[in-house]
Amino acid sequence: MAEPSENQVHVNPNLHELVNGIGETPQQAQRLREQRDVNDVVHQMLILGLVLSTALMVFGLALDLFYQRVPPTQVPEVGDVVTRLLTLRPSGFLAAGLIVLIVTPVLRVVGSIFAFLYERDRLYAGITTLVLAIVLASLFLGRG
Amino acid sequence: MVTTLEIFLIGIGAGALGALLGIGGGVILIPLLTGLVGLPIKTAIGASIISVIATSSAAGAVYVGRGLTHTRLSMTLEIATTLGALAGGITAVLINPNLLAGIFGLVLLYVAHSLRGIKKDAEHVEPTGFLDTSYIDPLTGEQVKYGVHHFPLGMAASFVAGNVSGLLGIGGGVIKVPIMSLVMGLPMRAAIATSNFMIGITAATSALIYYQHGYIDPSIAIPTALGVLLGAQIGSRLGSRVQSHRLKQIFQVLLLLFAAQMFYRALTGGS
Repeated sequence: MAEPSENQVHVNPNLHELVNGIGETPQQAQRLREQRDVNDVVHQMLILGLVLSTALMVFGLALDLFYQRVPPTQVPEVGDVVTRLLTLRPSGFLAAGLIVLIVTPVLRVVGSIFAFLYERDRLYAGITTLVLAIVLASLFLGRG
Repeated sequence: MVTTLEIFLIGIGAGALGALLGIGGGVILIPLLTGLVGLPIKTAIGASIISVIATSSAAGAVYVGRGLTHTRLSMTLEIATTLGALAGGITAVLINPNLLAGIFGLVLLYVAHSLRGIKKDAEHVEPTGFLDTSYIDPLTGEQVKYGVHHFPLGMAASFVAGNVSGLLGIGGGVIKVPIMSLVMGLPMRAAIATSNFMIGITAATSALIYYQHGYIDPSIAIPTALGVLLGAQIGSRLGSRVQSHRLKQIFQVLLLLFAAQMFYRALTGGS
């Protein structure tokens, strides 16, 4: 099989190949592939979190409309959310939607730590762990 | 008493305008929620930060999918933005609301000023040997290779951007994008994508603080966030059909009015 020439344009139906291009050297190709893996994880987590939180919020508002009530002005205690969800209380769905939305970027960071570890990129696994530590610090320092 | 529907419509307006102008909805949303609806500024900030997370996650997913985001650079700068947001968020819940309004007014003036746009004759980007990466330009189909300049300065600017974001509930892209593009040598597309990517986790950091202090009011934050998400979709579709130069001028005037409202609030503590 002939080696593809340097000028040959490689168009792959795979969107990621298309946007990232193909590497010129095996090392570069490897790097691009690694980059793609982290990006894939991140991409899917963001979309999943967004869809789930939007669905919860819309459902919560619809329930409020159904019960002919105005939405609550305070979020319930985090521990209360599950009980309220199980009893189909609108406030439970609204709070769950907010929590999923806030937690989505945090889970994206957690996901990228694992993706970097999987690639044996210790430096970036460390950097993303530090980011996660700062976010968790805000969870504890930010208590009312 | 304002209805959920009215808040939702305000969200749509702010989201659409934000997307048209390429800035986040927060700088529009907060003055509308305080001025038009009469909400306390901290409640408006809490609602804004939620919609900032939503839009950043949506746009972030799109940009990452297109390979425009410099993921490694953004994850490194996130150390600075989240630290900034942590400090900003704690300050925001403790600080006097009138002072917060005053600071917001100043930031609005800065945004109005920065809307003149970044003039760059020809974008010159090159690999620097530091965090080099590449993407395929969606318009030309060419591979753009670039590296990062002045990284320490970028970290400092990211801290400031995160701090402002945590303090005022806005995304902070207005600070990061010019720095990344003009100082750090990122191509404009990559700067926007990378800045946007960082905003989600930065906003989540301060949202965790607001949430625990009761500044996230579901009856406001949720219709706002849903409205902004929808509005941003509309805005980015309208984008090509609207004369952006004219729109920018009108918007600059609007921002000055918003700033005046914030300064008035800062001095009088008005509703």
